[in-house]
Amino acid sequence: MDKQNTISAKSYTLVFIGLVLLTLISTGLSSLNLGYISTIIAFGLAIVSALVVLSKFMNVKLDGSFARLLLAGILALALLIFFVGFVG
Amino acid sequence: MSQSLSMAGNLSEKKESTLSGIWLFIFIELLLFAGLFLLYGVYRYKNPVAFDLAAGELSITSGVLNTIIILGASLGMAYSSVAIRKGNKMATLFWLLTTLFIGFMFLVNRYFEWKGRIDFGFFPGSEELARLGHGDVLFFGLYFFMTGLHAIHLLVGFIGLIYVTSRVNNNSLNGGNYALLEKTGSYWHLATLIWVLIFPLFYLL
Repeated sequence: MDKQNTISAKSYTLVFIGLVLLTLISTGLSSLNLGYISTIIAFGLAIVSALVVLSKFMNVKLDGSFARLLLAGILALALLIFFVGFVG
Repeated sequence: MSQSLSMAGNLSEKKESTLSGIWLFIFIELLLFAGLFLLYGVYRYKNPVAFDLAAGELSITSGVLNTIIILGASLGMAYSSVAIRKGNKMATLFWLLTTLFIGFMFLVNRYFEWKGRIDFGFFPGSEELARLGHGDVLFFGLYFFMTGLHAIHLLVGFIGLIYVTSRVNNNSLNGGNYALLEKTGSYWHLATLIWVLIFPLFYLL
């Protein structure tokens, strides 16, 4: 049915290794005390990891309607946090 | 050209509609946690120093370990879906049981982490926290609530995985009929997705 959609076990292993590396990198960078930049780095890398989980493990196509809805949600949340942080 | 475009459109529509129920559920789940992230953002903005100090009470090593464990659980789940597509029953069962075991290790680690905090007197409603002040009460309240809610999601995932394992075992899920395993897998990966987003909030910032 969806043969073109299948991912091999080997590429799942590579995705896993990549996600572990992302975790270790963000942990390492967070110990550097870069002020508010480290917050942006930690969040940025977390969102990258989350998108990798969505697109590789959960097989969500990141150009479909679900992804557009998700992107709208993330932007709305980011906007709210921005207002809380800089206007609030 | 226009014909091939419309055909591609139809194909993708069909695929999305077969999965739309679980995707709607996953989206609602993400909204639930998004609300909690917002709550965290507001409280952190109002109590920056208390949140900074309180986060120092948590072990980064334990957080990183749990992240790697839950990523491993997702990998096991992905292997089991590869195995069932190939029609390999024994490999599917092996990877499902491995996933359950790795997920259980996550909860064991969570238990020890919580026990450590509770032994120090950092739990909602404790005298120690009340003495430290408002910001710490909020931080540990959110910490226990969000990690607890995530642990409940894992427990629900356990029930789903055990049911799927029994269905694979009695051959009612197999190489030709594995939609339930894929959907349970999507839910399981959702738990990973949420953890990846929770992890920096409490351990890294």
